[in-house]
Amino acid sequence: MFETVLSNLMSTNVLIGLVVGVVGGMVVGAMPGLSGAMAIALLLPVTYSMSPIAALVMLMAIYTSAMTGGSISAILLHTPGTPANAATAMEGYPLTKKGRGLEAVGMSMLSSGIGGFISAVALLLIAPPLAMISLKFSEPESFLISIFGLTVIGSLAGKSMTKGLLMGAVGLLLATIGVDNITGVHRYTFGSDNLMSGLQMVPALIGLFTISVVLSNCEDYKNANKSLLERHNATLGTKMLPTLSEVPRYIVNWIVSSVVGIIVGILPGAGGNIGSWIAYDQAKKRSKHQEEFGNGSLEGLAACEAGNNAVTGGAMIPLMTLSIPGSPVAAIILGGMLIHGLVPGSKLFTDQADITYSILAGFALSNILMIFVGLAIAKYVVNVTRIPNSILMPVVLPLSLIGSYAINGSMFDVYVAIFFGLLGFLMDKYDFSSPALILGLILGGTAERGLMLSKVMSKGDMVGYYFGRPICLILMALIVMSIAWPIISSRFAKKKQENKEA
Amino acid sequence: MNLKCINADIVAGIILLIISAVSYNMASGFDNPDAALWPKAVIMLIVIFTALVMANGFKKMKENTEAKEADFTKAIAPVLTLVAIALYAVLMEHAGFFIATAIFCPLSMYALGQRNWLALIGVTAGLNLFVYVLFVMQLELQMP
Repeated sequence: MFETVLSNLMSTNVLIGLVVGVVGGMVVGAMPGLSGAMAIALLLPVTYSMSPIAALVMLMAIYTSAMTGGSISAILLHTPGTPANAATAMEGYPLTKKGRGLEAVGMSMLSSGIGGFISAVALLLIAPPLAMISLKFSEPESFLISIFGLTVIGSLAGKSMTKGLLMGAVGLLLATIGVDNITGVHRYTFGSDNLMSGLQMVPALIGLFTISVVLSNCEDYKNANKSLLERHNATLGTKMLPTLSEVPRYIVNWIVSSVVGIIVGILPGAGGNIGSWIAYDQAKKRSKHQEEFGNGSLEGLAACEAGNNAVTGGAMIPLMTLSIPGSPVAAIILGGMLIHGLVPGSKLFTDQADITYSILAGFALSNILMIFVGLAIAKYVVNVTRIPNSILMPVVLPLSLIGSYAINGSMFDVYVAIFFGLLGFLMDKYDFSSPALILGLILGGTAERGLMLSKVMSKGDMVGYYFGRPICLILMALIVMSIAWPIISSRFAKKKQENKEA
Repeated sequence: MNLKCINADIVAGIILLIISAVSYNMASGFDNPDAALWPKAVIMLIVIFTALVMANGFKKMKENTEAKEADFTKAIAPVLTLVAIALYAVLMEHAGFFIATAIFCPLSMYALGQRNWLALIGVTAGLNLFVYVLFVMQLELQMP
C-alpha cells in the first residue's frame, strides 16, 4: 500500500496538481473578495480531465492554502483574505505597524502548515475506523444521514437557522428536477431535454460561489479601479522565522490550537473562522503575555492560524466517512468527489483505498509544501492585492462561464450558472445560506432514494421499521439535537444576558 | 404600502410560496403518484419554513428593527452587471467565446474604471490565450 501511495503521489499529474493547488490557493486566498470556495468551484470543470487523485489533491491543497493565503493580506493590509483570517488581522496588522510584518507572515505560514499537517494526520487516523460504521448503513440510514447533514449545515452555515433550513429544503426540491430514477417520471423538466438529467452540480456551484461574488463586487463599481495597496503602506521588516530558542514557546500552543481546530472542523457547519477564534481564545487564556494580545501577539497569531488550518482536515473526517461536510467548502469538495466517482463511506477506505490514502497523503504533503512555498512567495503574493477589481472581475467571469460550459459542452449550463449567480447574490445579501442550498441539491437524491426504497423495504410499517433499527434511533436523536441545540443555546445565552443585566 | 419598507424576508417568502404552489400543482399531475411523494413532502417543508421566515419578517417590520430592507434603488449596478453577463452569454452562443470575450472583457474593464489601454488589450489577449491553451489544446473542448 505504502509503495502504491508513494508512486501515485510522485506522478507528474499529482505533483502539478499539488503545486498549482498550493500556489493558486495562496494567491486566491490573499485576494480579498475571492475565496477558496470560489477557486474550488471554478476549477471543478478543469479537474474533469485529471485523475481523481490529482484532482482531489489539488482541490484540498486549495482549501488549506487559501486559508493561509488569506493571512498575508490580513497581516500586511489589515484586510482578511477569508473570514477565517479575521482574528489574524487583529494580531498581525499591529505587528506590521511595528515593522515586523515579515516575521508575522513567517509565523503564520509555519503555524498554518503545522495545524494543517496535524489535522491531516488526524484525518488519516480517525477516518478509516469511523468509515467502517457506514458499513452497517442501509437505505433508512442513508435517508437519515442525508437529513442529518442538512440540518447541521442549515443550523450553522447562515445567520438564521430557519433560513438555513429553508434553503436546504429549496435545494432538496431543486434536486428533484429531472427523470425520477425509481419511477421514470419526468419531474419539473418543462419538456426540455436539458433538464432531463437534472440540474448540473458544477454550474450551480460556479453560479452560487463565483458569479455571485462578481455581482457583489461590481456593486462597489466606483472603487473597482482602486487596489488595496493604494490605501496601505505595508512595512515588512527583515526577520521571518522564529529562532530555535523561541520555538519551544509555541509548541504547546500549536498542538492545542490544532486539536481545537480539528474538533471544530469535525462539528458539521463550523468553519475556519470559529476554529481560529476558539484557538485564539484558549491561547490568550493560557498565555503568560496576555497584555500582548490585541497589540500584535505572535502567540495569538500562531494560535489562530494553526486553529483555522486544522479545521480543514477536521472537516474532511465526517465528509469522507459519513457524507457530512464539516464546512461549506467541504460541501463543494463533496461535489468534486462525487464527480470523480468517490462516494464517501467504507468503500473509500477498502475498495478505493489506494486512491483515498494517496489523496490524504497528498493533503498532508500540501501542508508541508505550503510552509516552504508560503515563506518563499509571501512577499510577492501580497502584490496580487495590487490587481484592482476592474481587471479581476472581467477575467473571473469569462472563466466562470466557460467552466460551466465545459461540463457538457452545453450553453444551457451557462445560463444555469448565471441564474444561480443571481440567486447566490440575492441570498447572500439577505442572509440566506448558499451552502445549505447546495447541500440540499447534493444530498437530495440520496435522501429521496433512501426514503423511497426504505418505504418498500418496510412493507407498510415505516415507523416500526425505522424505530426498530438502533442506528436509525441514534441518527434521529442526532437530528433532533442538531435542530434543537441552536434554539436551546440561544435561549440560555439570552437568559444569561438578562441575569447579567439584572 | 411603500415598497422600500417591505422586509426582504417577506418578498422572498411570497416568491417561495408562489413557487411552492406551482410546484405542488405540477407534482399532483405526475403520472405515478409515488414520484410526487418526496417533492410534495419537501414543498410542505418549504411552506412551513417560509411561514416562519415571513412571520419573523413581519415582526421585524413592525418593530422597525431590520436594517436590511428590500431597497431596490441600490440594485442598479448589480442589475446592469447581470444584463451585461446575459448579453455576453448570448453573444458567446452566437459569435463564439473568443469574439464575445474580446468584446466583453475590455468593455467591462472600461466600465469599471480601467483606462490603461495596455491593460485593456493585454488582459483580453492573455485571457483568450489562456482559455485557448487550457480548454481547446489541453481539454480538447468544442468551444461555443
